[in-house]
Amino acid sequence: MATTTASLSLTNDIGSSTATISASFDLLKAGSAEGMDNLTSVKKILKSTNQVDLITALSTPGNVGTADDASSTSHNFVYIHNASTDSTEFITVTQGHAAGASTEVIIEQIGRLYGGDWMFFPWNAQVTNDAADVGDICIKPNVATEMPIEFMLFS
Amino acid sequence: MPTATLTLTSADIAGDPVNVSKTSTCYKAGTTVTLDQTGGLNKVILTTNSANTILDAVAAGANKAAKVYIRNLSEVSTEYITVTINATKVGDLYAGQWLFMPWSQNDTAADVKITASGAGLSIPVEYMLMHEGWSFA
Repeated sequence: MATTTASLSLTNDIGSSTATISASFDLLKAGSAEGMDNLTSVKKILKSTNQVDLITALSTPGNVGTADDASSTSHNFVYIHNASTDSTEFITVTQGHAAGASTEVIIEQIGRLYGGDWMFFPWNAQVTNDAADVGDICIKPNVATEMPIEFMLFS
Repeated sequence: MPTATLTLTSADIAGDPVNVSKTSTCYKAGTTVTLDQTGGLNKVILTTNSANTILDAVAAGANKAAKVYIRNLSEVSTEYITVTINATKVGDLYAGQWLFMPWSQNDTAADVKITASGAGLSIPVEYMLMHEGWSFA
């Protein structure tokens, strides 16, 4: 059984008193004491402003990120990092589906990652439309320059 | 300045060790000016399995920078909370797990809600928002 630990150190000094949060947990399969044992790690260079599938939900029920099964209880964690050094460049992270510039399906927008930003969140591959496979994690750059994006999927 | 550091480590999930460490400063959208508003650290106890709004999207926050931290403080491994944005499921946080994500508030229905995994539970949850773009003037 693999052991993977995610740790967060968060400092919020916006107010007059500083809030500091330190939190760690081991990545476990849903409701169990068994560690997640699959890892996908990718770096991409994005050269268009098209929405693209960053993490595509699979088509076989029971597999990681199954989008064909709306009742899927798969439990995964996703790390996404915009490795651009330009603070004006961002990607918009959504749940949906993409297959080119004219086929964007956006179920819900999560947020924007500007240059240097990262996010870490659970992903169940929840779907609302099996036919469209809209459980994907999608990203859309705001510029067509070479924007480096890194992501990891733990499952 | 407000900062967030993520560390991911594993000695055995792959053939070689995994060590990732990223620190980001929480800036306003498209700038190098740090966020200047916060909801502070909040703690709630979820006792029902209905959706509870913890962050209410507002028009003034649309596509501004906002960072959300949510942590399930339960110590019971089977207890989880479901996090949604505008009723679309983001994912489940089991006991001890946390998330850190941007929040666009791209429409006023994009509330962040959390739901306990069952009725009659008592799940402590903490959350914090750092943001720009709200004005009470």
